[in-house]
Amino acid sequence: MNISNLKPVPAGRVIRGGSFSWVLPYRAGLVSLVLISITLVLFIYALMAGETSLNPVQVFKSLTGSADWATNLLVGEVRLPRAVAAWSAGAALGLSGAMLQAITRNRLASPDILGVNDGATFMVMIMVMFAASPVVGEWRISCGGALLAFSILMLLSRNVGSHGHRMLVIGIGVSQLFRSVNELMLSRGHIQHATAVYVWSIGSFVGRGFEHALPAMFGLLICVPWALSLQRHINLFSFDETIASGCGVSVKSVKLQTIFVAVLSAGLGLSVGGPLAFLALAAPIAVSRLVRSSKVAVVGSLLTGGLLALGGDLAGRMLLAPIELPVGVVCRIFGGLFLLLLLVLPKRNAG
Amino acid sequence: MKILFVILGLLTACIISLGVGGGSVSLLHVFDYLSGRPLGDDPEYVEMVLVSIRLPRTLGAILVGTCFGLAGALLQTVTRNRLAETDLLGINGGAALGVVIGLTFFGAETVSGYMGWSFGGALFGTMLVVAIAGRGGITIPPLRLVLTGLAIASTVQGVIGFILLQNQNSLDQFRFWVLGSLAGVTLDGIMASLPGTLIGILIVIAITRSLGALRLGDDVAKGLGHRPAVTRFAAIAAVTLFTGSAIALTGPVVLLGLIAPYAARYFVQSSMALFFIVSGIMGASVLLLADSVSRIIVRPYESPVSVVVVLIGAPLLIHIARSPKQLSSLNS
Repeated sequence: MNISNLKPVPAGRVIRGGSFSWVLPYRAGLVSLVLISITLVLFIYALMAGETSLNPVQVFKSLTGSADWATNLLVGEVRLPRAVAAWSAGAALGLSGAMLQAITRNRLASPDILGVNDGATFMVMIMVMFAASPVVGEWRISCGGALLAFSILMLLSRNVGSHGHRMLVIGIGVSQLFRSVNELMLSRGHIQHATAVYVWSIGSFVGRGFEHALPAMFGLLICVPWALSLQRHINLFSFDETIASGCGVSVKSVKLQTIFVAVLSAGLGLSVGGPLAFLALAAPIAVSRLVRSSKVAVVGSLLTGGLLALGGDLAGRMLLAPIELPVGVVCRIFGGLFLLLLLVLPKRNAG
Repeated sequence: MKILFVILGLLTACIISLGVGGGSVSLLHVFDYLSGRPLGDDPEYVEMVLVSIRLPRTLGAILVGTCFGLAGALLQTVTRNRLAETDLLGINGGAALGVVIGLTFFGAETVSGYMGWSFGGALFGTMLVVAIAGRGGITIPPLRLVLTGLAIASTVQGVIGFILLQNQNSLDQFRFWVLGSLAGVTLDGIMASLPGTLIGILIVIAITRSLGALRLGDDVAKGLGHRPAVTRFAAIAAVTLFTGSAIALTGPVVLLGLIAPYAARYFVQSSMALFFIVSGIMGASVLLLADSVSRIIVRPYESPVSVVVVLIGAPLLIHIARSPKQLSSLNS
């Protein structure tokens, strides 16, 4: 189940010039282009579809501000902010999953299984219960909760880079613990607060918009370059820590930085619309299948995560219309099946 | 000798469960009531609280606790995995899905009404686990089995959410039930759950010897004249009966099937029959105590009992997963 089992595949065409050489990752580039175009199509569709369906011309007009007042309002104030929020949440989670999976050398390591989601929910809940005028899902709070949960997990599982499923099961224990404390708080909390947190904890983009997406977007502006700068070093981890350190990587520092970026982006992604189950797990795996490379795909996972969240939100809106299905429920159903397939299919397919 | 302690523990837990909770009825009243002495100033009130509120709850806790304890012990013996538990393997989720389907689409409203649905769902969950765990005759590694259960449980939760969101009516009914609570238990419900549990216990009695032989491996068991496939099938049937009847009564109680056999191993080393008996009693005692705690922990509200059980069970899960010894001692 870990990356090191994969056969090395050339990541692209090698360009040589004198004593310099550069690998042109054409396949990764192609995949990214395809992902971006699908995302754009989905984006436009998300602006068009809904109770009042619009045609592309109306959408285009309202984006430039020249449509009638109602259409402008619908697209500019409701659908566009929501689509942006969904995309940014998914992108941050996809990035987080890619980093976690690479550094733990474990395909199944993802914020949801490791208890990070429930830790973040715990902090958000505490804040809502005890703050005077609570904002549900403030990014600082959910990042703090994510860090807290992951620190507990690191303490309990000693070595984060361990193979196998031990860390994951400990993570399941940690998340169960957080969840039960959360339920305890819900059962004694003020009912109004409880409902607000409950909706958030299912995972939903209803009423989420630019102001919720903004911190995640800014965070991504920091996290993505940071992750890209770590990418080369993390790839060496896929062999062994000793080999990585033999190649001149400062193992400890890279590990800590990677974990920090992963947990930070998980917290940011969660803060937008609550936990989206298994999205962070699925995005990097899907990308590495598409690119046919075992290397950590920062950009690819980001794009796939955004695509999946946007698509999931859209599916939740459309599937049972006029009833809206929270995106968290959609993620649970498809993500759970995806994880089941990963576990059940023979290993050569699951890798 | 040790089993005496276990039984004493159960009796103490029963008395605590009768003596704790809302209404000014204390442990002293319980003793007075049990020994037939006069019951203070307002005997009718005391008797009402004891007999019509706390007694069904206590009986319900004993029934459900025994069910989950035995189901956990059976699963752990059959899969040779100390992490095997109805909730971690996704069987609870299956039963819950069955109940939701019964509630929503077929108008089942009482415990006896959704009993069948609960059985069906539990059977579905068990079959899924068996299909996945038994693929190609290889026993699946313990930790991997838990992840498989997580995937099943999570998918099922999503489907439950999917169904409930379209039906506000069943959402209201379901909400009190889903967290696992003994607050709504009635004597009628207990009577509806009893037959399934009793049949399950009869099955356990019948297959205890074969399960003991299975511990030595399939070949030895066959040599001793047992039929491993039949034994496993019977064990799975019993797990389904236990989970189905318990879940129809109280909703899913999480991780109890992990705690009870773990505690039982402290008292029983070798005897299979004693291991099952003590696991059942332990399940009942732990649930009784947890239920008593759940009544006072967030006063004046009441917390779902499952939450209290998880507060004990989750650290235990982490402990078992952390220590290679715990995992390897049963899975050879």
